[in-house]
Amino acid sequence: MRKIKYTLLISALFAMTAFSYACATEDSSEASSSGGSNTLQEVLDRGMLKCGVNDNLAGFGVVAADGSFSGFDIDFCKAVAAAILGDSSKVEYTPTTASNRFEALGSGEIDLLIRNTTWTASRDRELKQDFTAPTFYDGQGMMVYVDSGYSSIDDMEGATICVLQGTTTELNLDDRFTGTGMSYTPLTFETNDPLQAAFEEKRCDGWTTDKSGLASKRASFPASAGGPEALKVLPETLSKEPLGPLTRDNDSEMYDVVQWVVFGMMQAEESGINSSNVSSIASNPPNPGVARLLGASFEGGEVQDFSFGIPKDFMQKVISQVGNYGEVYDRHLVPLGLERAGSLNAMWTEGGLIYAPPFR
Amino acid sequence: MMTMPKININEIKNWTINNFFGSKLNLLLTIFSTLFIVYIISSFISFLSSAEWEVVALNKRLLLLGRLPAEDTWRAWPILWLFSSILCSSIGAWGNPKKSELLFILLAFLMPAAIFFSMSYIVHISITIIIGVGSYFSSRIIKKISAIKVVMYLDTLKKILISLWILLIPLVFIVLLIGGGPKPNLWGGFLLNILLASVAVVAGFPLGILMAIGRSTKLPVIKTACTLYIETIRGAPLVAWLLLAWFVLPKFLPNFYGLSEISVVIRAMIVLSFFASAYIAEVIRGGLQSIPKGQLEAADALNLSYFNKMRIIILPQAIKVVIPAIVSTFIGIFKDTSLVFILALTDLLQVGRIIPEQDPKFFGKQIEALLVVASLFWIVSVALSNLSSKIEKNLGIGTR
Repeated sequence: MRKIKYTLLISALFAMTAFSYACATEDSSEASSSGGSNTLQEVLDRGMLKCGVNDNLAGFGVVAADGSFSGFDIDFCKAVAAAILGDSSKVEYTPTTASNRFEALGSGEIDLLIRNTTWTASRDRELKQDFTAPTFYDGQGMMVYVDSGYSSIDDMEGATICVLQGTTTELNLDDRFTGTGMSYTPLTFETNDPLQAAFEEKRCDGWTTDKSGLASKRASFPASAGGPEALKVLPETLSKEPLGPLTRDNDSEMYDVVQWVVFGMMQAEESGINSSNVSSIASNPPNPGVARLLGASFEGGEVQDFSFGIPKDFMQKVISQVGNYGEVYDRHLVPLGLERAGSLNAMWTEGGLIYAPPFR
Repeated sequence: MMTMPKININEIKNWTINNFFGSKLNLLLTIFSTLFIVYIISSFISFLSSAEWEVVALNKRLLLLGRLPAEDTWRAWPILWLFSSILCSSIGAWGNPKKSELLFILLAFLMPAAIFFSMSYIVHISITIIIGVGSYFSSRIIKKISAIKVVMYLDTLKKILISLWILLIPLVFIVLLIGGGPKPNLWGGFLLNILLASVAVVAGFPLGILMAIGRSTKLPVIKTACTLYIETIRGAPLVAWLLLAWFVLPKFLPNFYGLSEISVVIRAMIVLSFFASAYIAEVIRGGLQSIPKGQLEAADALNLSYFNKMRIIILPQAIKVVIPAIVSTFIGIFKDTSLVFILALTDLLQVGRIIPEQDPKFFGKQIEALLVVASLFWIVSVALSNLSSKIEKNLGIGTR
């Protein structure tokens, strides 16, 4: 009996030593690789881009009936895959939640996170992740019934406001009202469906959430409750919510590619290049600027190489397979009722914030 | 056979008056509960009459198979045929179902079929029904033949069926992976819940038995190790283990043969199996403690080895006692599989949550989607608990 005990003890010790040895070797290899993380090279070697997305937000990221992903954010994943791998279909989508998205990127489970994530100072600093460029400027708004007579939030003294509890939305609402010395009654809900029901029963005067959300809820407002025409979104914006793709910190090759693919799509729209005319424009670019953007030769001159580590003509692939910024916006967000003209997401030439630094 | 007692109108009347309107309190309770029931039923009916099922009708495939690519849909059918043939043969071989029970089983099968019926699959669905009915009757015939003539056909059939049940999961894996199947993280929907639960139960059960025995021994190292294992796994929520499996497990695995890039489905299976084993271990330990000491002493008196003592004397009795608790654990594990959305997998519940976002016209149709999801979970859970009560009856538990 005693012999068995010792044998067991010794074998247990042996197993533990072997295990800790395995862990130690793993640690050393981990340390050597974390110094120079190069996601771009990994994506090229793998031949597949792993993109973390939303599967549960109309217009931005949803799963279609055939199991494929589609949406505004999804199209930027496709654009990055087209730029790096030349094929917009070489994306492996990972549906992430609001609570696990940053860990998914940090742990290397995904290469890139495009999930309507707001760029804030604390996130940029604390998450060890970098925001590349905003693709969509959202902001908290207020929706009211047209017949209520409100034309600005300043009119809403003493109003009851429907809001989701425990969100920054609730805090922004409080900032706006108590900050200007106005009284209000918040009516909070856990989820959107009961909130909408309360609003339909006119238990609250206003409904506040991100303007993109308000626009889509307004567009789908049931006819039995008055339909979209019964509602209006007040012009004020209570918060800044710039949404965009994230890469890991110290991953500059990947960061640059993602950032300039986004800028390239904006520049293409500004230059009038879209998915249907890109091939004819690339074969005969009208000016040197367009030639540089598309990685094409202008009147037999040399092709500009930005040394991103991907093919020089990456923007041609992006625009022919996915489209320019305006095409992506029109495809996914206009059907939701998110008008682009006059919003922050109009081109800078039309008074918006969509502005690409020069391709030079 | 019992004969139906004659129904006496007066008796019913008296019983009703006594039980529902006997005292003031009873009268009050009757009125309030009637109002409550009428209110619940009428609001449910008004919901059903205004419900729009398009969101479900368009997404049948997503609900059943998740993000499995369309060109791989065919893989689902051999799995269903295999399952229905083994299940129906087993009912024929072991069970002795009454006509009403057969009708219930048929309804249980037809309900999801009715929800997900589509003309393009009519051939596949008919084949499933033919295979099911055929296997049931063929095993009934074998049973009858063995009862009339003294031959061992039935025993052979039972042995084959048991080995088929054990082989079912590997066979399902083969069907899903054969000929360059889709990546495992695209498996989803109801298929994924069933697959995860089956693997967790099949892998967790033997491991749980080992852990239970280990914790009941007097050997200190084994006892401590098993106790530590059970308490550690039960000590943290499943969500925490799943998150660890997603973010931390790959860092611990050695980097050969792509082991550190192991699919999240496999990671979910590992976590669920360990989780199931810890709970099953404690249930079985309860069963082990219920065995009288005399049984052990009798086994020792027969000079049985420790292994044989456990296998022949102790475990069969211990497991028999705790069958209701084991099945309850299985049902719990089956429903816990809906947590794998944390690992970025698209299981049935997650599909139910995401499909109303597909199109603005589906906004607010969450209840329809979730009702279908709930009814699918309900069917499996009720089937499992019915199975458990059948086994209990056959073994005569609770009648001692």
